[in-house]
Order: sequence, then structure tokens, then C-alpha cells
Amino acid sequence: MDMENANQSEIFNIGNISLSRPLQAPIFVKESEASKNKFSILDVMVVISAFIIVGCLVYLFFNPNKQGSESRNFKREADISMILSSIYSYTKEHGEIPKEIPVTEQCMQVGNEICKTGPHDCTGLVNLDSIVQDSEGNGKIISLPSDPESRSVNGTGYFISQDGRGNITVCAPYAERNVTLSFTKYMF
Amino acid sequence: MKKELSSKHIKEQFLLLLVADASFLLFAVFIGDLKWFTNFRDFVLLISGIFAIFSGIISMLRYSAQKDSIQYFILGIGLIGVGILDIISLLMTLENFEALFSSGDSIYSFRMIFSKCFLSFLLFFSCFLEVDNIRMKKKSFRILGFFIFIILTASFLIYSKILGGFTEEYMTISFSVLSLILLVVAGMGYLCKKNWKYENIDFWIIFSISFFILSQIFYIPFLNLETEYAVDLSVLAQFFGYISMLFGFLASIRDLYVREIEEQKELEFTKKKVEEAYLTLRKEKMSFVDEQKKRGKKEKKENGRDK
Repeated sequence: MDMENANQSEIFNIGNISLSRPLQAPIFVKESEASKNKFSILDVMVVISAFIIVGCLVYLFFNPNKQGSESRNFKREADISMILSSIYSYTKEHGEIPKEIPVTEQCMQVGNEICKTGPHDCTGLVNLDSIVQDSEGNGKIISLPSDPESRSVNGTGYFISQDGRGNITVCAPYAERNVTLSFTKYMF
Repeated sequence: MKKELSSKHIKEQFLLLLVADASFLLFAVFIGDLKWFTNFRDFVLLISGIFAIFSGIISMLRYSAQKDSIQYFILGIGLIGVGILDIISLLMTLENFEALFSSGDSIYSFRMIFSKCFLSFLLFFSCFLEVDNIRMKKKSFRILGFFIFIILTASFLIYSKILGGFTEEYMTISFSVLSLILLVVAGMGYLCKKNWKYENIDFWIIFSISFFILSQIFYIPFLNLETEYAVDLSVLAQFFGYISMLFGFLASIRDLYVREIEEQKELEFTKKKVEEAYLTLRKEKMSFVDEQKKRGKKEKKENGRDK
């Protein structure tokens, strides 16, 4: 080691000129190389944005959210048509529309939500227990279906109304992807 | 000699492009559940048409201000044409004009792609055309004639019965794919030309091409989206494309103005330096003359003494 140091000191003492620093590449060259190898925040953001673009395109190509929404909308369609058919059967049998169904212009309105079957508080909701089968088997439907996305404790997420002239409308306001689900049927 | 833009500026520009595209795609991902996003297609189409015409006029203005690139002329003429086509396609949807125009009610109809195809062709053409200043004047009339010829031929093909053997949807999607390819090639061409290192306008053209590509991707039924949404998004992407094009032309006019001011300053500076140099030279000359006179007098005196 001492020999090496001695050699180096010889190298850097050329004649009368003594160098305070060992000969090496200038500092600025080293710095520029170092900065070239570093990724700036801009580079990282460019790469992330490019990944987001590719990711979004792939997502839109498969769009699993749309498949799920469509299947839930199919269930909603089936549910509201089943409710409407049950009410139609009830009306045919009894000759009158269930009295609980409110007469309003719009289906989607406060107080028009159908109450769930079972021990639920149906205050401010439409109680359609008359069309649900009791223990003796009287009734048209086993239980009232609920909207798959409804967060309500007592309500089914489906709404019902009548126009007072025999037309009953059942609608599903929680239908996804801007689909309007609303069926109307004349009962007599 | 063109002044090169700083690498940071270029990186920031491309970051802006990618962030804008990513934001639009993220919007497209969440659009399915947005209730307000309905029935505004015609409105956006109308605004797009107006913006396209406006961009075209600005481009022509830029071309008339400094005839350094025929690109502005082509884009100007083309964008005015595209805007007019957009507005015509909108008129075709109105009931009052049913008797005047005959077009199907389908979303995939020729009226929807006419302007898109023309735009892609225009960008493709503008990318690969390099004309020097001398031949520019002659070329501009030929190009104008060429565009008018294309519009007339396309109109004839679309509204005559020559293409009647094919289903309209089939033809529309085929033309859409063709224009998507043209747009991708034009985008690649602009990127490979590397003029975006020197000119802001080229970056903005690439920016708008990226949105036009997105517009075509949404229009062609490749993605798993409801057709109505996809077409709405396509129209919206096209609208953003026109806005970025307009922004590019305005930026170009601003660059021209800034460059003119800089040149003026440089000219003033040079003039000042020349004046200074002239004054110094004059001063030196005067001092030299004085010195010569003094020396002459001295020599005369010395000669007088010697005599």
C-alpha cells in the first residue's frame, strides 16, 4: 500500500508542479453522467401515465364492471316483471288493485318504495303483504325480491305506483349504467 | 437556424399529452354510471364543428402572417372543410332537413364518419408533405383543388348507388378502421420528423392526433361499452382534438410574435454595436489624424532647426 501511495505521489509531482488533487476525470463530466443515469420525477410520471393509458384501454376492452351491471339489471328486470305479474294475478282474482299501492304521477317518489317481506317496519313504504303467500299458501308470490344494490333495511329498492285508471307501474331506480327500468301494465 | 426547445420543456409537453389521454380514458371507464352523460352528442358535435372552422381560420391567419410552412395552409383548409362536414352531419339528424338529406338513422352511418375520414386523410397528407417556399404558391392552389376533388368524389360515392351493394354499417366500420390506420401513421410520422423539438405546433398536432385516435377507437366497436356511450365519447374526444389543434395554432402565432420581438431586439443590439464600433473607429481615426498632425508639426520644427 505504501508503495502504491508513493508511486501515486510521484505521478502527481511532475517537476516543480505539484497537483493538490489526483488526476482524474473532471468533476463536471462525472456529474453529467450521473444525472443522465438518474430518472427525474417527470420521467417517472411519463411512464406511469403510459401505463394508465394501456391499463384503461385493456380495462375498457374487457370491462368486467359492465358485465356485472348488465347481469344485475337482468335480475332487476325479472324482479319487477314478477312483482307486476303477481299484482295482475291478485287483481284478476279479487277484482281490485291492492289498496296499498299509492296513486301518484311518478313511480320514483318518496313513499312509493315497496317494503320487504317479513318482520320489517313498513312505515312510509308500500306494504304488499297481500300478494305474498301466507302460511296457508294464499298469495301469488313467496317473497318480494330486493334490488341487488339496495342498501335500505326495510325497503326492497323497487318502487310502485298507479295512475288511478288501472295502470300500475313498477320501476327500479337503482338500475346501473343509465338504464331506465320501468314496466307498466293495465290490470283490468 | 431553428432554436431547440429545452429537454425539460419537451418532457413536460409529452407528460401533458399522456396525462390528458389517461384522464380521458379514466373518464371513459367511469362514464357508465354517470347519469348526466346523455343526450348531449348533437350539442358537442355542433361546438366541435364551430371550433374546427375557427381553428382553420386561425391556421390560415398564421399562414398569411408568415408563409414559412405550407402545413398551416393544408390544415387550415382541411379544418374548415371538416367543420363544415361536422355541421352538415348534424343538420342531417334534424327532422326539418329530412327531405334534403337521405341518410339512415343508424349510428354507424356515413354521415358520422365523413368528417373523421377527411380529417385523418388531411393529417396524413400534412405529415408527409414538405414543400419549400418557392414552390409553395403554386402548390397551394393544387392542394386546394385536390381537397375539393376528394370531397366531391367522396360525396358522389356516398350518395350515389355505387356503394349500395354493401351494408352501410360494414362500409362505415371499414372506413373507420382505414382512418384509424391513417391517423396512427400520421402520428408516427409527426413523431419521427422530430419537429416537436423545435416547434410547439408539431407537439399540439401530435396531441390532437392522439385524441383523434381515441375518437376512432371509441367509434369502432372494439371496446366493451354501450354503443351510445362509445359514440358520445368518440365525439367528445374529437372535440378535445379540435381544441388542442386551436391551442396549437394560437401557440404558434404567439411563438411567431415572440420570435419577431427577439429578432427586433437582436437587430437593435446589432445596430447599437455597429454604431458604437463606428464611433470608436471615428474616434480612433480622429486621434490618429491628430497624432499625425502633431507628428508632422514636430517633424517640421525639427527640420527647421536642422536647417
